[in-house]
Amino acid sequence: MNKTIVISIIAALLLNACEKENYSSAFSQKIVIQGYLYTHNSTDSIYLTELLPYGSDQDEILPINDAIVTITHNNTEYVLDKLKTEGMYGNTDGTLPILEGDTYYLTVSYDSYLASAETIVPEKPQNLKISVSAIDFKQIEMGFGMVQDTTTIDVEWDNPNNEYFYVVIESRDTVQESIMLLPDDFGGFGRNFGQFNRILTAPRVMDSYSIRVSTLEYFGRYIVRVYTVNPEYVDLYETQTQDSRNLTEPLSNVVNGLGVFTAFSSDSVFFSVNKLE
Amino acid sequence: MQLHKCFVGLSTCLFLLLLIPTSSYAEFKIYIHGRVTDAETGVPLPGATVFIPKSNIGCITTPNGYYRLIIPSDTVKVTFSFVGYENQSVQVTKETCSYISSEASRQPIEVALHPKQSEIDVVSVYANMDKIIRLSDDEVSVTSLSPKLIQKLPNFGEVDIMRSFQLLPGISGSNETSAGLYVRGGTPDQNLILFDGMSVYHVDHFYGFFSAFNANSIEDVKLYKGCFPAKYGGRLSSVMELKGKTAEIDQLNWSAGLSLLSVNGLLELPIIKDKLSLQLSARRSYTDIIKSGLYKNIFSLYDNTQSNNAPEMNFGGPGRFSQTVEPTFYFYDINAKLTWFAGDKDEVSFAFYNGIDNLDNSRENDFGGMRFGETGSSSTSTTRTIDLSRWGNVGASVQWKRDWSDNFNSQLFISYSNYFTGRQRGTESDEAEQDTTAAFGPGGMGRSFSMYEDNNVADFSISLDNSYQVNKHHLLEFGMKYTDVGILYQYATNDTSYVINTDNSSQLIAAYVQDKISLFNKLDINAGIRYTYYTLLGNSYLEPRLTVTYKINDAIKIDAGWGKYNQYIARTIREDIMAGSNDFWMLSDGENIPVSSSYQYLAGISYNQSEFLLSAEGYYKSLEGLSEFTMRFSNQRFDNSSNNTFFTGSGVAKGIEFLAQKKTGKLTGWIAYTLGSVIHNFPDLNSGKSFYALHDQTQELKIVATQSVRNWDFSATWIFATGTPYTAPEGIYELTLLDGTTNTYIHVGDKNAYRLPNYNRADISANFNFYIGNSRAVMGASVFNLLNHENIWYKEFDLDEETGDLYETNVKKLGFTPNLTFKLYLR
Repeated sequence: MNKTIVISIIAALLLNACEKENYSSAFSQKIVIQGYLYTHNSTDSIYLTELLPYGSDQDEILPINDAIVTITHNNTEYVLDKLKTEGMYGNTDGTLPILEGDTYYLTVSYDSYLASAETIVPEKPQNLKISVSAIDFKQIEMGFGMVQDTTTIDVEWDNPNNEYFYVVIESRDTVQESIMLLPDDFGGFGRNFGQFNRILTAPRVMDSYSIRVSTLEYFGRYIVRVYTVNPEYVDLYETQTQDSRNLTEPLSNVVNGLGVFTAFSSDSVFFSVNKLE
Repeated sequence: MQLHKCFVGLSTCLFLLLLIPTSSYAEFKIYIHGRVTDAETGVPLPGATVFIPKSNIGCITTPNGYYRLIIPSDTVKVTFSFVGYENQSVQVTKETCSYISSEASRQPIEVALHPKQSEIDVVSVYANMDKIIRLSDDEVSVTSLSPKLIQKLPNFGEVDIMRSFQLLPGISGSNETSAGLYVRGGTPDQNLILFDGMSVYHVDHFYGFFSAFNANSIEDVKLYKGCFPAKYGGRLSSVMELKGKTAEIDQLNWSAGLSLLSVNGLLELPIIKDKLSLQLSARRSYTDIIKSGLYKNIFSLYDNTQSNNAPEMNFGGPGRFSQTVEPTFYFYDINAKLTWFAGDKDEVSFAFYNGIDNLDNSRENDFGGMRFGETGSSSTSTTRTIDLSRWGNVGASVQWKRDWSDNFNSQLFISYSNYFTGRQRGTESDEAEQDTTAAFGPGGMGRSFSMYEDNNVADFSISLDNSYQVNKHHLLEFGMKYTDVGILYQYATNDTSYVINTDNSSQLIAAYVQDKISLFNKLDINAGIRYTYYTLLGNSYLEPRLTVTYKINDAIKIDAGWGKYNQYIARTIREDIMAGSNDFWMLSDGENIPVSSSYQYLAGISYNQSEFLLSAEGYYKSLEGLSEFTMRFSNQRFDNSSNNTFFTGSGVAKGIEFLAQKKTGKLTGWIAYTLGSVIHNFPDLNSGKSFYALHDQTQELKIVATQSVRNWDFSATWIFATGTPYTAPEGIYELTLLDGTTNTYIHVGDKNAYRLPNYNRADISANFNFYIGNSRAVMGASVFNLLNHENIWYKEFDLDEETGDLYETNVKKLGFTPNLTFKLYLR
C-alpha cells in the first residue's frame, strides 16, 4: 500500500519535472517597426512605436525614442540617428547606400527587447514605357447627360517573374487648371469629388497600367512612378483590414516584433495633358 | 522489404508462443458446457469467466455466451463471473459432466447472472484465475460502465453514457458543451467509437450537452483509455465499444420516460421465442413544441442572436432595427436491433441507428424598406435572414457471430455509417425560392450567404474478427478490415468563393494479429501488430502493440503498455478567436492533413480488494502530424488560400491519474484525480513556440458518491478542474502605408497563452423508486451546478474596427439548473 503511494508520487514528480521548452506566455511588450527603404534615397524612415495594450492606463500609442537602431549592409553596420520627429530614426549623414539586389538587416534594441528584420531591395521595373508623352484633352463640363470620356494613357513594363508593383501618378505643376469644370452653382462641395492630385494603386501583380485621363484632376505635367514591391509589404497591405468575425494577425517580417521593414525600387516616365481649346 | 521482415519476425514469435506447453491441461477427460446469460434480460454474456476456484482452470464464454470447460473431476464447484454482475457458483454433478471420449453430451449448465449494484469496475487482469474480475478483457487500461446504473447519477436532463464516463480519471469532466471524450490529452476525434460495429463520427446531441447514444438502447460499453490492442486501429487516443441492447428473447418488455427536454421509449419484442427478437428505442425532444426552462437555459448558451451573456450595449444611429427571434430546435434518435439466434453456434443481428439535430434560427425582416422599380415607383421589400443548422448520424450494421468450435469463433461485421453537418447563414429576398429547407448550398436566386459550411462523412466497412483459444493460457486473435470512406468539406464566407472545398475518398485495408499468453500465473503478455494500407496516399503502415501485466500478489498488480497508433482521418480545429473554435472531418491528404501518428507508453499499479480499489496510472503520448486550420494568417496574395490556413505540428500528452473507489456498502463512489498536460508545437504557428493545447487541463479532481436509503437513491458529484487555455487580442498599433493612410492593427497574443478561470461544479440527484400496479417507476430530480458557480465556456471579443476598441464577453456555461425525470417500466 505504502509502496503504491510512493511510486505514484515519484511518477508524478518525474512527469512534471521536464517542461523546459519555450512556451506561449501572457502579454509582453512588442516593438512596432515601420521601415521603408527607397533606392538611392537616404534612410530617414524607420519609425518605432510600442504596442498599446488593452486595459492599460495609456490613451495613446507611445513612440520609442531611446532605442538603438542599426542597419547592416555588406557587413558594415550603420547606427541610425534619432531624428527630431518622435520615434523616427535615420541615416542623417547619407553614408548608407540603398542599392538594388542588396540585403539590409535591421536590428532594434530597446529596453530588454531585441527585434530584427531583413529585406532585399528589389530591382526597379525593367523597360518602362508610356504610350504617349503628351495628349490634348478637352475640358469637361460636369452636369446631367455628361458623356464619360474613355481616353487612356498606357504604361507598360516587363514582369516575367510575376512580381508585385504599385503605380503613383503625381502632378508636377504648381499652377493648376482643373480638367473638370464644375457649374458655378455647385458650391464648394464636391469640387474634388472623384478627382485626385495623386493616384496610387494597390500593390498587384501587373505589367501595365492604364491611366484614364478623365480621372486626373488638372491639366499639365505628370510623373508616373512604378515601384517594385517586396512580398512583406504586400502581406501587410493585404491584411490591413481585420475582420472582427475572424480576427487575423497582420503578417509581418519582423522577428520578435510587429510591423514591416521593406524596400522599394522605382523607375519613372512622364506625360502631359494639354488643354484642347 | 522492412515490412516483410517485420511480418516474418512477428510470425516467428507467434509460432513460438503457440509451442509453449500447457502443463497438465491435456490430462483431463471430462468437461462441462452451457451458456451464461443476464438474469434480468436473458441476453447472453460474452466474455464471462467460468473457473474453478483455487485452481488454474478456467475459460471465457464465446460471443454468444457459450462455454466449454475441461475439469479434473465431476465433484468440483465452478464459479461464473462477469463484470458488473454477482458471481455465482454451481456444484458439478455426474449429470452435467460430459466425456471427451464420448460423442454424447450431457445436460448443460445454464447460468443466469444478476447485475451487481456498483457503478464502475476497473478491469483487472490476473494470471491466477482465482481472483479474476473480468478475464475476457485482459487488456490494461480498460474501463467498463453499466448503462443500467448510470441513471442514478445526476444528469442534464437525459441519462447519458458519455457524461458518466467523464466522471472517470483521465477523461475531462468539465466539457459541458461536448459529449465527446477528451481521454488522456486526446481529442474526441482521436477516439474510435464503435456502436455495434459502426464507426460513429459525431456523438453530440444538442450542441454536445447530450451524447448521441440513448442509454436505454445500450447494453454494454467499455473504454480502452490507452494502449489499445491491435484489433483496433485508425485512431490515436482511445477506443469505445458500445453494444446495442439485444431484446429479451422470451418476454415482451417496454419502458417509457419523460424529462424536461424529451420523451423516450423502449420496446423489446420477442418475435420468435428463443430465436428472434427486436429491440426498438426512440427519443425525441419536444423543444420545438414546449420550451421548458431547462431548454431555454441550455439553448441560450448557443444562440448568438439572443446572447444573454453579452453585456447590454445600446447603439443609436440610423438604420438599426431589432426584433425577437424564436428559434426552432429539436433532436431525435432511433435505435433498432433485430437479433436472430440461429442455433447454438450462430447469432445474426441487424442494427440501425439514426440521430438528427435540427436548428432553424431564420427570421423575417419585414422592415418596410424601399425598393425602386423601373418606373421609379417604390414597394415594400421582405428579406429573410437564413440561419439553418443540421447535423446527425445514420448507420446500419449486420453482425454474424459463429462458434466454429468450442475454442474458435468468428465475427463478421458489415456496416455503413454517415455523419453530416451543415450550417448556412445569409439573407434571402422575396425573389428567392421559398423552400428554405432545400438542400444546403451557396447561391440561388435572391439568396446570398455570409457563411456556409457542409461536412459529410460516409464510411462503409467490412470486418472479420477471429478468436482461437489455443488453451486457457493462450488466446490468438486475428482479422482484417476493409473500409471505404469518403469525406466532403465545404466552407465559404460568401456565396462566390469557397475557403475550402474538398471531396476525397479512400480505402483502408487493415489486417491484424495479436496473441495473449499467461506465464507462471504472474505475467500476462498481449503482443500484436496491425498493418494498414491507405490507398489515398498509397502508403503502408505498421503498428506494433504490447501490453504486460504482472501480479505481485493477490491484490497488487503492475501494468505496462506500449504501442504505435496511426490516424488517417482527422477532425481539424477551425480556430476562431472571436467566437470560439469549431472543427470538421477531413481525410489525410499528405499535404494539408498529414497522417497523424502516436507512440504511447503507460505504466500503472493497482491495489484491488473486494471492498475498495486504489490505482495509479501514468501515460506518455508523443503525437505527430497534428493539424489545425486558422485564418489568422490568411493572405489573399496566395492563389490557393488553403496554403496558409492549414498548419501541421506535433505534441506531447502526459500525465498521471489516480482512482480510489469504494465498491461496497450503502455509500459507494470514487475519487478521481488527474494531473497532466498537452503541449503542441506547430513550427509555423506562434513563432514556433510550444503552446498548451486548447483542451489542456493541468489538474482535475472528481468525487462521486451514491447512497441508497430504502426506496431512495441519492447521488452527488463534484468536479474541479484547471481552466483551459485561450488566445486573446493583446493590443493595438498603427502603421502608415504608402498612400499616407494610417491603419490601426490588432495584435493577437501568443497562442493559448491565457487560461480561463478554474472550473467548479457540484451536482446532486435523488431518485424515488415505486410501483404503479405491477410496473416499476422511477421519479427523479437533479440539480446541475448546485452552487451556481460561474464557469466560463469561452471569451468572445467584439471589435470596433474603426477605433480598435475591444469588447470582451465571458460566455458562461450552464448555471444552477434543476431537472425532473420520470420513467415507467412494464416489468
